[in-house]
Amino acid sequence: MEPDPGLIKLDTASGRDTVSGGEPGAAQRFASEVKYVSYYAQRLAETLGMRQLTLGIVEDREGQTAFHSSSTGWHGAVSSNRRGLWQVRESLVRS
Amino acid sequence: MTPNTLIAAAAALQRLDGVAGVILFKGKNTVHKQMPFSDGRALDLQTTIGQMMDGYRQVRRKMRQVYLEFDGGTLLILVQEEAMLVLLLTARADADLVASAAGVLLNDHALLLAQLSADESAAPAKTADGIEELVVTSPRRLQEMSEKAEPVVNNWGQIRKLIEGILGKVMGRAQASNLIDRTLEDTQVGDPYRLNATQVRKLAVSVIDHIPNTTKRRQLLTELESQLEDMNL
Repeated sequence: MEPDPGLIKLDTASGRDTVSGGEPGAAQRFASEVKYVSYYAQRLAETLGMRQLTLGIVEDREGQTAFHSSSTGWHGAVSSNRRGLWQVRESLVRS
Repeated sequence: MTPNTLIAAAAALQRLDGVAGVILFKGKNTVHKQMPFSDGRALDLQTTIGQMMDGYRQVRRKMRQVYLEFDGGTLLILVQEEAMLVLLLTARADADLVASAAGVLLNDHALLLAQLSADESAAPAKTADGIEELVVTSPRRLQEMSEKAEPVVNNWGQIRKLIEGILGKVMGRAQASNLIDRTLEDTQVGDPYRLNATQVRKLAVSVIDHIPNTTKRRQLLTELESQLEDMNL
């Protein structure tokens, strides 16, 4: 069984993004995923009459990318494990 | 299995606790749609999700599911090849249970979904005697509730695309999108889908008004007026 993936942070200040934590490949993938999903999520939120995305879990055949909004940006993880939505959600909210 | 069994199975998902809406579609073919808001808004939702998944397809990523939790509800999107099952969940839903049930539905109907056309839905199925078959999949009370909940609904999604297209002549796509978002924030319109025709027109003009160059602004406003008239706005 693989260890829990490391926490990755994507902080945005003055329009500049800073990624920290996680392995370089995972951190890069995390940042790309968050930006891509955020763009479409903003449009979806508008359609749904909601304001903003607070948490996302994206799953493909190779694993999961999960992220949660924070006061400075996003934090989350990239994992090759496939965990339950509730389990991922709980670990993100607690972190 | 027939498309009717697939529609019935998709509709049955809505009986799970906390499932407020379901859309099953493949490309432009909507197999089943039952959302607690207007058809126009549901179509916009489908279009945006379709574009998002197209992006993943272009980089050859095989997506399974996307869970998006917003401040007012959750969208759960399950993907099987070109087919997409979208569920709108409330806080009461057990997301894992719903995802599991939806996954089973997609697997059970995989062959049928693969055979379905991705083009716009054809005319209603006719029986051998030529009489149209009536398939009732939507509880009437829910429809009535949806109608009451949405007194004013416009096609903001299409209008936004139109504005982005016009702005695209003088700026990049992301810049145009940001300008619209900023105008929405500045004008504090709240939900743009609830504006009436006059308010939507005013909002569209106020976005274009941000173009500093007078000549270009006039040209874009003329084009906007013409295209809004084509849309009967």
